[in-house]
Amino acid sequence: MATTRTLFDQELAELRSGVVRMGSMVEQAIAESMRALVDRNNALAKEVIARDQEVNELHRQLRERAFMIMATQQPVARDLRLIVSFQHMVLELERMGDHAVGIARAALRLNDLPQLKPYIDLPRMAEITESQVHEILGAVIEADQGRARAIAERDDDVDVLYHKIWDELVNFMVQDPANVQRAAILLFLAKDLERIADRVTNIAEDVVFLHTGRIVELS
Amino acid sequence: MQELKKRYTIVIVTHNMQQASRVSDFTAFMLMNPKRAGEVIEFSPTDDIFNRPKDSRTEDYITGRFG
Repeated sequence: MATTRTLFDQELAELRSGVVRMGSMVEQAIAESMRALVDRNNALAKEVIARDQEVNELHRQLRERAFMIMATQQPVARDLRLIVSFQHMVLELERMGDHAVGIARAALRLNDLPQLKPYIDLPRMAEITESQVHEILGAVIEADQGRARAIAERDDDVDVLYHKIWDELVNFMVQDPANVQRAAILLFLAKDLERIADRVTNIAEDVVFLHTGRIVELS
Repeated sequence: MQELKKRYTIVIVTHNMQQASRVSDFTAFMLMNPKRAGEVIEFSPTDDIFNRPKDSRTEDYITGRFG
């Protein structure tokens, strides 16, 4: 059916591509912050921290654009759900960017100290989280609620690894007070990853809302 | 109208979507087809019609894709 709202549809498409662009930036930030830890690469960690300003600026622009569309186009039904969902998604992505900065800062502190232990479970946890972020962006593009629900379920795998890492690091602390500083930093880092996965679940809930108009709790 | 509707059933025929969504409890969406005028496409609580319409023609109309 021919549309009478070409400009409106174009604005929505631009908003959608902005959300995806922001998602890609955050995905890259998470991957590079972890690489900065594993490779003990301080320059890369500093890059991640500096580039967060770009994520924040894009977040600001997208919020402004969404507000303008709402004010000028009076969207209803799927259009309204799309804009409200996008507004929430960019907030979640912005926070994910902050978690990537948290990881990069932790890497900077840890890289100046002897390595406490080989990093095994943390990279595994990061790998799941990064793929969740990547795939949820695909589900957003396709408005695929089935895929979004499946991605959210993988949060359980992240939680299992998080608790395993937690137990292991607490053991390190108990064994030797000299481990406490490094183990504590690693705990915060693991928490950042765990929170990123939680925020993926929040975006998955937005995708379901987009499709059904119902607000659901997937966790 | 809010006072009147406590005692009477009011039917408003309108093209004004904002008025329909603001004042009504239920909304019927009607279209013309080649054989007849006033075919009821969808009838639901107003909240559903404007937030989660079932028929794509309703959705296209209320979102301004035609009409």
